[in-house]
Amino acid sequence: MTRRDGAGAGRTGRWNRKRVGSVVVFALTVLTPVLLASGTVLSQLRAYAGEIDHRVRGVTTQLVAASGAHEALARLTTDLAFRGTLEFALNGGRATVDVSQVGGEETPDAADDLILARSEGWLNGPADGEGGGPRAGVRWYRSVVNATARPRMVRVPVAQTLFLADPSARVSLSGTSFLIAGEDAASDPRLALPGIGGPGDPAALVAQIPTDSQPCITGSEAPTQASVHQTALVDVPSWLNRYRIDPTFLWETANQRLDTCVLGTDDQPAVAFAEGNLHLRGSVVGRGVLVVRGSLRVTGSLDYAGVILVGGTASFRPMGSGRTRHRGALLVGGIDTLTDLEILGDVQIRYDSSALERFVGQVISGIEVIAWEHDLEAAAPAGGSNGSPHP
Amino acid sequence: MLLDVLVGASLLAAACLAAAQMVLDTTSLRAACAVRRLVIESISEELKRVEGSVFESLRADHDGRGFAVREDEAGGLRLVAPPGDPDGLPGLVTVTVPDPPGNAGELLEVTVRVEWFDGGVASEMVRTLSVSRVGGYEGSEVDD
Repeated sequence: MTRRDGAGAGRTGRWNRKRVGSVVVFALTVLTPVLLASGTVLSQLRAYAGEIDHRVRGVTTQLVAASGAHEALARLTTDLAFRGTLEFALNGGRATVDVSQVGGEETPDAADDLILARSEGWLNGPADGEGGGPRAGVRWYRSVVNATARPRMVRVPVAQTLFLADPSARVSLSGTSFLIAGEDAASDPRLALPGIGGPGDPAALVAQIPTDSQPCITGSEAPTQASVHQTALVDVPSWLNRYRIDPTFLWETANQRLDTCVLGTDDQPAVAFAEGNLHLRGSVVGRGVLVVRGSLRVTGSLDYAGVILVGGTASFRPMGSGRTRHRGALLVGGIDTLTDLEILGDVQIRYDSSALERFVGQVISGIEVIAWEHDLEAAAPAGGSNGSPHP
Repeated sequence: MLLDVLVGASLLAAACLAAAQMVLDTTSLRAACAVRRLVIESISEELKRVEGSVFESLRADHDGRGFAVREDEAGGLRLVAPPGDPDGLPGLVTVTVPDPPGNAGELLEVTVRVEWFDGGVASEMVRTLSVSRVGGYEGSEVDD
């Protein structure tokens, strides 16, 4: 009995082991493919998530680098002489911008300068003030923008012989001995311009001019006798400031009077700048640009070719044998409470494209970008780091 | 015999449940990745669009402008703005004047914010770009 029981227990144990084995085999058969499939899915998903993360950080770094270049260009626009380094933080990253001169002479004349703004955008980059690359073991991103710029050269916009910036300008034009001519006085004339132009209503301006004086304003055809048109606004104060940078003659007194003098010649045109009011009471000859931040008053003789820029009011009332002969263009900013333009007597203001070309030239107005290179995913800088680069 | 079936069935059921849970989790994670990708691409596109605008009218054209965030294809992913959003659009462009330099004629700061509502949770992503009057930003190409 005992032997039989022992034999029975042995058979039962073998059956149980077989059953357990079958269950294990069954379980492995089912679970192995599931585990393999799960592992594959997880692996793919991890790669996908990594790719998205890479993309998000990459775009962020590009924005940081581009913003750095923009900041430097904005700085250069207002301060062309700026050279040096800018640093700022944005979007969780950091940009270091190096502004340097890569072309042109080391002279105060900036017209020939070529400037490079190199912006390095970092995410997880070097710590503040550290050179080289990022810290070891850090997954970093780097993008570099090289923006090359040069001074922007511009000319005074001339779309009429006499420009009145105030839309509600007040004028006093008397008699028939003056002339404001929009016809080109150059030997090779271009199309005629309006005699007078401005952003205001031409009819309102013409209404202020006596009927017998209106034929004295000639130029491109207009609905009225006087050649008065609406023309684009010119920012006269901005132009005053541009010429203030490096004038040939500078008067800083509140009221400057000039007797007989020469302000530039055919061979050497000049920029003459008066910070305050200017009174020409003698015999003044000039070529170039005459700029008056205050008001201009001419009671003597004036023989000028080029551009006359006046921030305040302009008055031409030559006395005695005095007369005004101006070839080029006149721009008047005006003062709300005063008469912007007053002309009485022997005054001739003529458009002359050759005088403008010859005596006025160009001035620097900010900068213009001539190349913008963006390395979207830049490698480590030379001599760089032992950090972990982005994938 | 019954015991064998029970053990086998239990293992199978557990495996199926685990697999189902994994499928749900991975689907959810994949959807989250797709949303994140859509958001960053939308932000990048909006910033390119803003920077391509005329600088002088940039504030007037874009400040306070909302935009939809969705995939181009029909039936594609589309994000929903959080409840109470004024224009019902998840995207918003804001243009400010940074100080310094505080000169609206030279430098502006463009912030693109995407706020979306998904499964009872509100999320957001914000990126900022400085834009100067003279500069130019070349947008990146996706390295898929």
